[in-house]
Amino acid sequence: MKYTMYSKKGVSTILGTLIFIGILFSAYAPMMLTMRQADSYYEQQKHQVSLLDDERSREDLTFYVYPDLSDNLIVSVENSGPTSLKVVRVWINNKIQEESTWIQSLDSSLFGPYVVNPTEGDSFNIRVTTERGNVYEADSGEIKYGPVGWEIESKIINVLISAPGTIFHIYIYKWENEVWELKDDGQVQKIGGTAYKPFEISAFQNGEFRVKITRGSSIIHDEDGLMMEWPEGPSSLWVYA
Amino acid sequence: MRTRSGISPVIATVILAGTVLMIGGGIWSYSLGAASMVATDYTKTTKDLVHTIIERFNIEYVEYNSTSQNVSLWVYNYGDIQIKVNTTITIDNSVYRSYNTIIDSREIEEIDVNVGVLTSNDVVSVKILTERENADYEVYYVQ
Repeated sequence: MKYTMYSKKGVSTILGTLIFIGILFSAYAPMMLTMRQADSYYEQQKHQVSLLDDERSREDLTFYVYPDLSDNLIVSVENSGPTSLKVVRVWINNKIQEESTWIQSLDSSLFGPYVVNPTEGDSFNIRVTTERGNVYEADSGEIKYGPVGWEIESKIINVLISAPGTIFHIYIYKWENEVWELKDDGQVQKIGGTAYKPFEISAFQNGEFRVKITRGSSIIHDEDGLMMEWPEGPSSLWVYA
Repeated sequence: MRTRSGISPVIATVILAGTVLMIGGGIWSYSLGAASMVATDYTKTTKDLVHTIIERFNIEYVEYNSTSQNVSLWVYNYGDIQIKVNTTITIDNSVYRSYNTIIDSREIEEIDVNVGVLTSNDVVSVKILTERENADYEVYYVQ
């Protein structure tokens, strides 16, 4: 009969090590899990807030203000950005009109009429606030109530050029007496990929305008049908080339 | 007569095992407590850090009222958490303060600070500082 003898030396060391590792693991594993959870919460929140900042920076809104027949103010807001936005406030000087209106991208919405009971000499600074914290002012500046009724600071044609080239010449025409009469012109230089020039047209009355843009001797943009009809329409017109 | 030889090794083994278990249990309990304390601290620090980076607010409008002699400012909290702000207004070398204005998420709050008589074109510097050390600034020229 054959007996095999096994030595038990070292078994307790192995068992002790296993127990030690078990204790260590059971104590530290919850800690590691909790810390990992905290880390992922941090990353998630950081990501969310960067998305909010990104959406906020991409918001773009233009609006104009016009009076109705009862001298109340109406605000026409256009979301010209790529994301939908929510208008939460319309400011008339230091008075807040609470709103809660979503406007889809490239859509527009009317706010008001707001009763302001104007007297001669009153001026109204209108601002629009979005839920993401952007505050916009009317392109045309303040609206005033003068001796002959409502006035705005300026009627403007804004020209924004991103076409190839560096120096451009812009001509502003108005349809008068069955011809396009040149009213204003100016040169603009592209800086940082775009060139921008506003043209003040308050002195030329309402009507149809035309904008021609040249680069050297070649015409790169020619747009007519630009109707300045304030207060029945916006007081600032945009031309993109 | 029963012999008692062999009892003392058993007692010794029991005492030894008991001592080992007690010491082991103590170390385990200490480790667990220390680890959970570290985890709690870490979670709290992370949460505070998250709250610091997600705070979003701005000074939406500033105005001086010559009748009440107050500078009024409207602060909009467009972030997801409540904020507590301290306001500092500096005009020339004079400093005026307002403390601990609480503004809930998506709310706007008006803060009025009495600054005395100001004249046209006086420069009013406004600083808003939250308890988490985020700040916004605005310069206002008296109309």
